[in-house]
Amino acid sequence: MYALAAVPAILLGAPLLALLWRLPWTDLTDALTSEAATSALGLSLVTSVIATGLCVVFGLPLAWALAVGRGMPTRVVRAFCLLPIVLPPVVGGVALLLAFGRRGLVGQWFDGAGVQLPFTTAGVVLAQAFVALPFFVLSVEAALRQLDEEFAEVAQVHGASPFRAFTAVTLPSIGPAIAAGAVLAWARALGEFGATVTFAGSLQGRTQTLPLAVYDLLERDPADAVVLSALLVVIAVAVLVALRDRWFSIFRSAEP
Amino acid sequence: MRRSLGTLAAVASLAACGGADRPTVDVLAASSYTDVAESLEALIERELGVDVRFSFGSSGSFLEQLRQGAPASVVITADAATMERIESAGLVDPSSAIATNRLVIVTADTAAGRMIEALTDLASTDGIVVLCASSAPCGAASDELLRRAGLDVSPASREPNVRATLTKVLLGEADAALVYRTDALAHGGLRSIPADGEVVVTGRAAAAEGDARGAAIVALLAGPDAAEILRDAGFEAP
Repeated sequence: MYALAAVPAILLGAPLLALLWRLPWTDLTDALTSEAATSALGLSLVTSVIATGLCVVFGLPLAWALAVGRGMPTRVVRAFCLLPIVLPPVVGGVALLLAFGRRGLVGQWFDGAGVQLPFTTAGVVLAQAFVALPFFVLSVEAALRQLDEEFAEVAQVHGASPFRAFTAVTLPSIGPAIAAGAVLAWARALGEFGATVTFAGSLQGRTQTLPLAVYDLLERDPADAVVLSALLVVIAVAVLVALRDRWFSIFRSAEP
Repeated sequence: MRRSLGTLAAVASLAACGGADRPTVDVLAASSYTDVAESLEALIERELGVDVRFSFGSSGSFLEQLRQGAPASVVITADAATMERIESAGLVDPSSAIATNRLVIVTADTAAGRMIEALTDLASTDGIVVLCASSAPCGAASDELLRRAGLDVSPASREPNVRATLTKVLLGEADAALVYRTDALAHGGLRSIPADGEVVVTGRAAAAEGDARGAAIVALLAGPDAAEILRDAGFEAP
């Protein structure tokens, strides 16, 4: 058993260790302070935080609707919400182009109004929100389902409006799930590559986020690419450490 | 444990049994050779009796791929500079020039796209212009072309390779782009304008170090039969 367990452990661990092993320690500051790196890091932080904000604002009502909804329509909507998790991100990018590109289903109206999404920083945010939203919605929906509905009902019996019952009673009790969902969504947005490069393109300072910069650097300066990759790993590890209790508690509390 | 490895090997051998007794040869080719690959593959398979498997990518990524042991008997790069780096890393035998390519402007059927008539228009247009990334040969050639013309173009994006660049114009998301002549020819409906300027990229092929089968393919690619196929696709003789 231990031998079998070692196989996936090596599969998961070796690439990360190799990244650290190949890290050019002496050029570390040079690589991290290069113009490509700093502008990509800044852009990644700004876009991923905005994308996460959008996920929270719009994901919360969606998670609530999925949690209270019953029957076929809810299941269909939930399936659509899950899709970006299983879809190859490049396919997501193509779909985004066909929807929000300037000849797209919806995008042609935007274009008429002078709003451009492809090749813009707003396009990066859209691509990130597209792939990150399901992570937020799923974790919040799970928490809402496990919540004892009676609390909110009692509040309503005592005269609170449904909205007031939601904000005063429901919201505080799912706070940890909202936090965990937001951090997961943020991490997914930060690592987004395929949908971004397909939908928003790659231009330093405007649409070239950290993962896109890694890809570009790999062909020009592999050592710098390794440094930026390691930076993304460090951020990912920090997220997991920060979440170690919260995220898993969602699953634990599922047990009776 | 041993049993699962055995299963894995069985699956792998099933997956590999395409060409019966014919040996399979892997060719790593620049993405600008995507459209002509089918004809080249037929020529190689007919002349040398091997099963050829092409895989495409940005030439800029080949050095790292080969260094990490990518199983390729032959490498075809879009430009000479990229091949020089692979050669000086000692990863291949000396290369041969197989074809040259040049850049053209392609435009989408959009208001801004139809206005573009010459290279100088790329600098003055209000439309969306996309270029290949500087790390890709088409991007390096685009930079050189624009530098020689003294033009300052602000692209909306620097796409990872020439195919991605072309796609943005095909979808109408970009109004104009600089791509290879061969890419424009492969998409008949696309309006293309010669980007006068003498920037020519020379595609080169090389066999993996000491790979006899690969060397035979490189000789064939540099020969007259391949030259005809390449010429039909819009390449020029080196």
